[in-house]
Amino acid sequence: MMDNPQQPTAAFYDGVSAREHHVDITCEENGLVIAGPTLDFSVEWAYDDMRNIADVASQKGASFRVMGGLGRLNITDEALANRVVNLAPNLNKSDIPAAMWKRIGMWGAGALTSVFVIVFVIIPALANQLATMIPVEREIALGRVSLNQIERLLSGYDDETHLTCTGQKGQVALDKMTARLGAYIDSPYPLDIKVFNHEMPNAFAVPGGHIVLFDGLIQDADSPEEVAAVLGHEMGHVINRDPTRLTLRSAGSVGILGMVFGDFAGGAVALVIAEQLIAANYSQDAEANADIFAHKLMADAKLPSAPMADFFDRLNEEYGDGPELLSHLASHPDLRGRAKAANEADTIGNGSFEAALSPSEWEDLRQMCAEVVKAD
Amino acid sequence: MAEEAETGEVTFNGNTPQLRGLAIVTTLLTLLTLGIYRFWARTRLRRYFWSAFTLDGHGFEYTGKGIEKFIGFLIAVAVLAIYLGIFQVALSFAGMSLFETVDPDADPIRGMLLTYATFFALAPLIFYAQYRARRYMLSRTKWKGIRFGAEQAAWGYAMRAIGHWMLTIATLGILMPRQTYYLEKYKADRTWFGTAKFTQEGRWQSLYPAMKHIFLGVLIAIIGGVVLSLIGWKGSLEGDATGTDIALAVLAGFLIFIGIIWFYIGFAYYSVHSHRILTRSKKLGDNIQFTSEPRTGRIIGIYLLGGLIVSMLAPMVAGLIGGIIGVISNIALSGVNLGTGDAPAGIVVGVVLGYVAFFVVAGVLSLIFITQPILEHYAQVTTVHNAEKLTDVTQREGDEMIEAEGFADALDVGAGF
Repeated sequence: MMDNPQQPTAAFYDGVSAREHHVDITCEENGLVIAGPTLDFSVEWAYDDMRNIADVASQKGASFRVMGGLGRLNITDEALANRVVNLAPNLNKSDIPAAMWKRIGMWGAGALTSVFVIVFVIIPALANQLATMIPVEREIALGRVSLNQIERLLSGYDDETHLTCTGQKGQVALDKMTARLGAYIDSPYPLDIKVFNHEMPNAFAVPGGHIVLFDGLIQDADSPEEVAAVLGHEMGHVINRDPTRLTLRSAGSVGILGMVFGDFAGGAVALVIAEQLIAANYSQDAEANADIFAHKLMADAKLPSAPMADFFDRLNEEYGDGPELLSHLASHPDLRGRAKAANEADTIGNGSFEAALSPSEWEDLRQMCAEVVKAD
Repeated sequence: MAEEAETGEVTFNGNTPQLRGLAIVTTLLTLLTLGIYRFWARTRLRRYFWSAFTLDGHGFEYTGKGIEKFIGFLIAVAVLAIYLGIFQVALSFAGMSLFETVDPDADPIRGMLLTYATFFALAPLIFYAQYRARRYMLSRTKWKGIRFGAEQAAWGYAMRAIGHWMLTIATLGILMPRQTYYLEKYKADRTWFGTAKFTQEGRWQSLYPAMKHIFLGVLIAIIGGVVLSLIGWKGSLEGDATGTDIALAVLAGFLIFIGIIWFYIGFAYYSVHSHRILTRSKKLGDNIQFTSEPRTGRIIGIYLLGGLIVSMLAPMVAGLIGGIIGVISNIALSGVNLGTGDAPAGIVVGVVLGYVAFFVVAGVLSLIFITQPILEHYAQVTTVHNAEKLTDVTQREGDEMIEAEGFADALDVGAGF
């Protein structure tokens, strides 16, 4: 198409008809004049209003448009294209109207509000409601499945290793402790309490009233009251149906986040981080409420909650709270704050109380996992 | 002035170093902005690819703007977040109430019910979003300064798409050509170039020849299945399996395998050949017509070769980048504790950057080795007949569409690039 020797140096599309006009360009003081034999009248483009058309494949010369116009000018002659580029000052300037920015602000605020309302108000409320509507036997069954998965994960997928401790005397001691606390709660499920032979000082609850204490926690504790406090905390999770509620909530928030981040390269990373932050936010509330529940339960059972504070303080000394950022990411509120709250909630003080376990029962509980090793 | 020769020839000249640069820059910017740049990235790539297509020597032009897509996305998030959030919670509630275990495979009927529930809750939105994305792209596409366009008919399309899909599933795919034809006709009959309207002519039954390899694949698999069950039946009567029986059983298993592969290739063949048949019976204005004859073998070849290159090169380059950066930052950051336990900070940095590099490299390579050659092949096999009549077309009104293709972006059902 460009092999005509009299080919002018530019092609112009008027934006009205589907015709290409071969045109001559004259550079005037304030703008370009575009004229050609097939144009009814010459077109003038002010330099200030001209914009560049970028990212054109195999571009020879340069392409231009004019603000608010439909026309397009392709200048194939490099020298002329350069001259025009030098004359037009605003080629790469945005021509987005001010109204557009207002629109972004409006819809941006709308989108953020919408996401926040759904993630922090509607989904939690819905999850709280629905968690009570799942049939109890389903919850117990679901809990059993996830308990098995956790056990396999902790044992490194070694099917020969069973983490559940089977010490008979220890179980008796544990049942006694459970009964003392359990007398003051009204659980929708039978409480199923196990000890895992694992060195981490930890405990958790899964849906359906399953609670697991780690042997590491029992060994770290200085008194049976410390263990009882942790047990009370986990009972709080059970009564509040926290595991089920949190599962439902995270299902909802993952759906939303998937939409916000899309599938761009690395989007999965952003999604996981955001999901962690939201999950931490959800569970911080749940942890605080479980602490309050435990304080009340200890008081009802005529036990002091100060040992819980000692336990948190010792954990804090041994493992530290970590940097600010990490403690925000971690799902538990800071240990010092929790210890303080436990101390304040104590109703026994220096008074006397009936110990959660007798010294010999306490020793049985501490030896509960020793028998697993012997059995092997 | 002498009239140019109008041959209706379509060309594509997109295989340039410029594409490589553009692909790398846009992918990196998308990563650095945690994905916000993806709207501008896609816009720039479209502008490039559109301009690489020429018809009679005149390039196509994409006039969409990143900011339009961004606003459209914000609108879609504002509207969809509540619906999707509630939907997801309800879905997992249903899952927890219905299943004994977390594994939906354990209970196929209830699993199927959930799948259908998902389909009916999301499908109208997805089809709606796809139609709107197409309308947005057409309204931002120009050739010789004249805009394309599509009429507003997204809900009509969504309802018809659901109806056709249900019919296709109910007839085990036998009415698939009917679905393909009527949905294409619905879209084509509402598509314009300037003042000229597209029309889809022909009839849906003419798409059946394109389905032949799907049927053949099914037939081969069925024969294999029948032979296998006959051997099993004979075996249960006579007890002992003879050498011939075993040989026949192996052959029957092989037939089933071939049948399944044939079936999948049959789908590629169907999509290519139904495109051919539908394009032949499309019209623009009174007498502008088209042929587009892509080849199934070439398309499959591009995907296989491109997929191989991406899956081999991306992990290699990413591993190299991650490794080098890991070693360097391990030295630079020695003694710094990122709170990551036992893993040295430098190694963590290396792994994260390697992971990021993988996405960049894979994205760039698939643009160059898959998207680009596919577009090139389509251009090479496409011709416009009576192209000189295109000169009579005049401009149509613009279609502002402030929601752009936000719904498609939010639901992640946008076009290929």
